[in-house]
Amino acid sequence: MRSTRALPSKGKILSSDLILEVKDLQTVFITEEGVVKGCNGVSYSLKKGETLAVVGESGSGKSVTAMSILRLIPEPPGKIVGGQILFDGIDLVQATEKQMRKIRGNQIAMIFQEPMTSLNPVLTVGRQIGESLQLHQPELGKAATRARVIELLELVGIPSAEQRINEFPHQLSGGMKQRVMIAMALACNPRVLIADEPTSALDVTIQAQILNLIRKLQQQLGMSVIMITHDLAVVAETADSVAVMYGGRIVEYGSVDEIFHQAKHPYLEGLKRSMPRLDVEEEELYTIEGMVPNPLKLPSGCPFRPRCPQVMDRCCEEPPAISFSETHYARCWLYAEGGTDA
Amino acid sequence: MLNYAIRRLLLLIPLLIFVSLFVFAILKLTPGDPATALLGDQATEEAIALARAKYALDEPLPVQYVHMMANFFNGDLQSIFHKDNVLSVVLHRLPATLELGLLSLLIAVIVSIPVGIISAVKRNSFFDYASMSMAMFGVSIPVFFTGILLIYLFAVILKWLPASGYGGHFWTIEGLRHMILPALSLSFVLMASTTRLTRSAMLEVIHQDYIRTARAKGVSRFMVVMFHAFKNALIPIATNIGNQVARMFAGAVLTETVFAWPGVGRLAVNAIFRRDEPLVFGCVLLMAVVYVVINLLVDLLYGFLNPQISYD
Ligand SMILES: Nc1ncnc2c1ncn2[C@@H]1O[C@H](COP(=O)(O)OP(=O)(O)OP(=O)(O)O)[C@@H](O)[C@H]1O
Ligand SMILES: [Mg+2]
Repeated sequence: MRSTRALPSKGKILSSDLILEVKDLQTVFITEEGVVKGCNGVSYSLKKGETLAVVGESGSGKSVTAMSILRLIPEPPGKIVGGQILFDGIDLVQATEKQMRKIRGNQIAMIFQEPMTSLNPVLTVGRQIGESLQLHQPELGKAATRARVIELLELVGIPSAEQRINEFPHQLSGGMKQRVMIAMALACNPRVLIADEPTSALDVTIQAQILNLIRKLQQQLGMSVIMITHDLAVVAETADSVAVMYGGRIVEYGSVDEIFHQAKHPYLEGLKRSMPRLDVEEEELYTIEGMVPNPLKLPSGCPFRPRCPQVMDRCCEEPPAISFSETHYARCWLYAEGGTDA
Repeated sequence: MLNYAIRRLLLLIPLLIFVSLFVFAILKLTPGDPATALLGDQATEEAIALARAKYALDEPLPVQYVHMMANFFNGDLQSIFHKDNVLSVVLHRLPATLELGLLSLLIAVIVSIPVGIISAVKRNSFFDYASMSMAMFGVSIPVFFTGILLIYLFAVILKWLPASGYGGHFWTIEGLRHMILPALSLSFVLMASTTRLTRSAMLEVIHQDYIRTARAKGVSRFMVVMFHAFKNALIPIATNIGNQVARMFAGAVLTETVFAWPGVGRLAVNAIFRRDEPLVFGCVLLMAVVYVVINLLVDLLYGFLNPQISYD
C-alpha cells in the first residue's frame, strides 16, 4: 500500500542542499503488552539552513523519530526495523556504533525535552560542555577547550561565564540549564540540530528567549534545525517546513504557509482550531474530541479515524498520500478523487 | 569543611557519655562479682575485700562510674586480668582490628563494585543471576559460619593458609597469609550488600536523562557507564559502605574469635568472660570512638562525591 505514496520532495532528492533524509523509518518497542510502533513509516527531509518543524500530540512519535536518527533508541525494548536515514552519503540505520559516535554531538547534535534532568548532577557545567570538544576535537588542548567553553556560554547568553563553568547543574535555573544544553549541542558546530521541545519545560518568557536564541544561532552558524514541538505557535515562528505527525505517521507535510493557510488533514484542522488566538475573542478553546490513541491498539487504516469528524467507510483502509504541490501532501481519503483504490 | 569536622568530633562527647553509661549499666546489672572472678572461689574474705577496695567496687554506683571514666582517660584504669592500664591494653590491640577491617573493606570494594557494574550492564544475563544469587547467599549466611568454612577448606583440606593467629602487617607476606582468611570471611556481608547496591544504583542511574545526553554527545557506551553513570552511583554506594562499617565491627568480634585474631573484638569477648569490667568498658568506648571517626570520614567523602552537599 505504501507504494502509492507520491513524495512531493522527490524531484529535489538529488539536489545537493539536502542534508538529512529520513525514508520510511520504522521503529518499534517490544513491550510486555505488545509491540508499540513508535514511528511507523516516517519520511522527512532537511535542507541546508532550513528549519523543519515536527508537530503532533504527545505520543505521536516525534521523539522516537528524532532519537532514531541519532540511534539512541534504548535497545531493548526499542529497535529500528525498517527504512533509511541518509546523512552525508551513509545510511545511519546501518552505520556502526563507531561511525555513530563520530556523528553524535559533532555533525548532528540534540537538545532534549527535559533540561532539568538532562545535565549530569555531579559534573561541572564546563566539564560537560567541554566533553564534546574533547571527544571530537582532541587537538584543541586544555586551554583552548576552556576558552571555547567560555565563548559558547557567552554565545548562549550566560553572564559571568568564567565563574559559571565551575558550577554544578543544581546551581542553575531551568532556563540557564537549557542554555547550557544548547551550548553543549553547539560546541562542535553541528550541521544538524535536533531540538526536542526545547522550551516546553520552561515558563513563557524564557520560552521566547530560548527560541529566539536558537533562531539567531541558526542564522549565524548556518545549521539545519529539526524543531520538535506540540505548539503551533512555535511552528509559526520558527519553521520553514512542517511535518504533522499522528499515531507514529506523518499525516500532512508542507511549507509553513501551506500548513497554516491550506491545511488539508482534519487532524491539522483540529490542531489549528485548538491553538489559542490573540486576534479573536473565543469563549472556550476548541479541543479535538476523543483521546490520544493507545499505541498498542492503533486502528487499521488512518490512525485518526476514531476521532475524525469527517470519517468515512474508506478510512479503514490505508489512506494514500495526496500531493497538492511540490512540497505539500496529506495522507487522507477526503482528497482521493473517485474512490482511489490504493 | 574543617568547622564541620570539628563540630562532628565535638558530638563525640555526649555520645561517649551515653555509650559509657549504657555499658556501665549493663556491667552492673550482670550477676557475679569481679573480685571473686579474679581471685577464684578459694580466695579468703580479706583478699576479696582488698580487691574490692582496690577497684572501688564498694562505692555507690555514680561514684564508681565517674571513677571509671576519669581513670580511663588518665590511663589509670587498671585491667583486672592484664595487670596493665586499660587504655594501653586496648590501644595495643587496636591496630590488628583496624588492619583486618581495612583489608576486608578493600576486598569487599574491589570485588563488589566491578561485579555490581557488570551485573547492571548485563542485566538478566547468566553472570547477573549467578552474582546476585551469590550475593543473596553472602547476606544471609552468618559470619562465623563462613569463617569456619574457609578454615576448613583452605587450612584443613588444602593446607594453603594458616588457620588462625596474627602473622604481622598485611603488607608483609606472612602477615597477608594470616590475614586473608579472616579478612575474606569478614568481607562477605559488605561484599554482598555492596554488590547488590552497586547493581541497583547503576540500573537506576543508567536510565536517567543525563546518560542519554552524554550518549548524544558521542561518548562511548563504556565511558558513559564508567564515568557518567558510576560517578553518580557512587553516592549511594559510599553511603551504604559507610553504614555497613558498623556491622563490620560487630562481625569483627565473631571473626576474631573464630580465627584467634588478637584484636579488640576478641579482647572484649575475653574480658566479658573474665568479668574484667574495666577492660570491657574500655573496649566498648574505644570502638565507639573508632566508629564515629570512620563515619565522619565517610561523611566527608560523601560531600566530596556529591556536589549538592555543602558543609557549612
Ligand atoms: N522506551 C519505550 N518503551 C516503550 N514504548 C515507548 C518507549 N519510548 C517511546 N515509546 C512509545 O512510542 C510512542 C511515541 O513516543 P514519542 O516519545 O516519540 O512521542 P512524542 O511525540 O515525542 O510525545 P511527547 O510530546 O509526549 O514527547 C509512544 O506511544 C510511546 O509510548
Ligand atoms: Mg517527545
